[in-house]
Amino acid sequence: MAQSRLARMGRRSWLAAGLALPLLIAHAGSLDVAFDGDTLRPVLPDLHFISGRALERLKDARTVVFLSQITLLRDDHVTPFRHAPQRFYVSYDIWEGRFKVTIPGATPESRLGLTAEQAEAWCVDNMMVSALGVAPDQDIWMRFDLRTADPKDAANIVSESGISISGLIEFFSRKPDGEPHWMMERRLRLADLRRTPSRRDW
Amino acid sequence: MKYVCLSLLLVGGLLATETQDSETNVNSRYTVETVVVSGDGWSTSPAVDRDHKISSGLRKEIAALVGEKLNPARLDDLAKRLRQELRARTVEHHVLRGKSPEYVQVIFEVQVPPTRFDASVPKFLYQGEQGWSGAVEGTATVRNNGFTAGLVSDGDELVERYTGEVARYESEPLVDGRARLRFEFASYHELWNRSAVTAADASELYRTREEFQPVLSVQVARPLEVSFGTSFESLGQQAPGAPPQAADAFVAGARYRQLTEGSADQAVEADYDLRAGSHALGSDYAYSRHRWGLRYRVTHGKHELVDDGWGGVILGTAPLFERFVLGNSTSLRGWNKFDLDPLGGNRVVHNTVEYHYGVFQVFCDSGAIWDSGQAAVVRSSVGAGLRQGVFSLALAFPLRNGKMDPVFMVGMNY
Repeated sequence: MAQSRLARMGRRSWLAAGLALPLLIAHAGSLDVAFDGDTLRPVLPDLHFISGRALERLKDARTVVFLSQITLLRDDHVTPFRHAPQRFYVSYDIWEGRFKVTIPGATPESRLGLTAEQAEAWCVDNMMVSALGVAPDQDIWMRFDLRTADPKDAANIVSESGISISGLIEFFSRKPDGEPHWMMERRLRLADLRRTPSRRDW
Repeated sequence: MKYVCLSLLLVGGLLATETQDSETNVNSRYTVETVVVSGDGWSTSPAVDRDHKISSGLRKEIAALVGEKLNPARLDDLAKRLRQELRARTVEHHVLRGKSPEYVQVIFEVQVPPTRFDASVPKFLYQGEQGWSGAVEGTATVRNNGFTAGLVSDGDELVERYTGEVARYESEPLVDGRARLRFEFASYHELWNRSAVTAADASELYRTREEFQPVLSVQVARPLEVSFGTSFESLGQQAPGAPPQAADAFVAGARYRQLTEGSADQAVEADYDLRAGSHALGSDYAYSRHRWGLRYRVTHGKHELVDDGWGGVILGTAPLFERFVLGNSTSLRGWNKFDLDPLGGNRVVHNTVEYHYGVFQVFCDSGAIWDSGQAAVVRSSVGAGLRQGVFSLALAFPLRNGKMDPVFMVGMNY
């Protein structure tokens, strides 16, 4: 069984794992998970992503985009079966000294006048993945990714004409420019998680 | 891992296409109070100044930010264009609180690479009467000091065709960016047209010309710049064994440029150049050469009208390279300079009227070239063609009785 799993991982997965390892080492932290019966949410009180270069850019009145993704995997961490991406537009009011966070969409949601900690907490509160259909005693892995993105980079890659191959190559061949990337992962079983009140109940 | 990155990017792509920065950036409710572009030792406020480092179009767009609501995406776009135009390493924009509440100041910070290399073609021309002319240069800029080396062969500008090497050093801006020092060295071999050889006294023609010219330029006030220096010229004689002659001169110049922007942009440029050969400098020639120019340009949309008039006088006996020429790619186009005066003249007056609509151009040149004591004969030519940026293609017709010999010209930067 273990042998077949190893065979299924393949070279690309090993390569991906090799690339991810430094990130895991660099940004590993404890990933606590809250479960309300329907959804899984990361609990990250010590994660402060409004900092460093992102904060410098915010203080220059720019919009910084944070992209998050929660992934559920099974088969000993091999097969992803559920993704929940989310994006957050953060800006910093240079007169008020407070942050604004917007979740875009058909009905955009915004919060104004937040401190950095409040802005981070509101973003994390809006990161969740559905647990419906997951067997309570099944071993699963939950992976949390968060990174900043320049809207122009994304626009260069995805446009009305589709995905730009040259844009993708340019993006992936770019040297790491110090952009932070947080990545955490943990193994869990729903049956082992203590139920928390649903966000709807708050 | 790659799926994660790709997914994140795709999400980013969707967000970039669906959301405007002005909707999400809390600062977009503030009004821009001032905009400053600052670089290595210089700064300009495009809404107030007419700094020539930035093109008129881009300067207007930057100035238009003042009084508008802050649009960070627009700042990104302008920073990118500034970077391209100034060939800067980076252009960052910063936004600070304004002096009044609800207002902000925008600063574009330009970082120029300490060392860069540019290759350029300052002139490239084919003219039906004079043949090819061209120059190619390479410039290394090290901490705002420019070192240039190049090759040139020009049969258009002067009576002679001069071919050789040029080298130039331009200092970094001095005295708060108001002054600049320039040293130029050139070494040319000369070719003379048959009609010039026939008309000239053998001692007037030289085989080689070497030039060394240090000049200091000072910006007295924003639109007025003056320059002064010396020009040391050594003329190798045609006769074997004859010692070279010196044509050393004091040089001075003044340039005035005023731009008025509105529904129609207008520019007035005036210049004056003096070259005075003096025995005091060890020159074999004693003369003074004066040249005046006045140029007016008005632009409205795709329409552009230019009037460019200039004249000159040489007093005393000047070497041939100092004499005025008409009938080349910029003056009395369509005429042959050797038909007008094979050795050039010591008196000249010329005026050009050009009208451009988009890439189309028509022009009318009028002028006279003569030597003191002779009667001036005014001649004219007309022409039409295409001009896009530095590239130009034109057919010019000299206006003379009974003959119509058009001259074709194509090239850049002439």
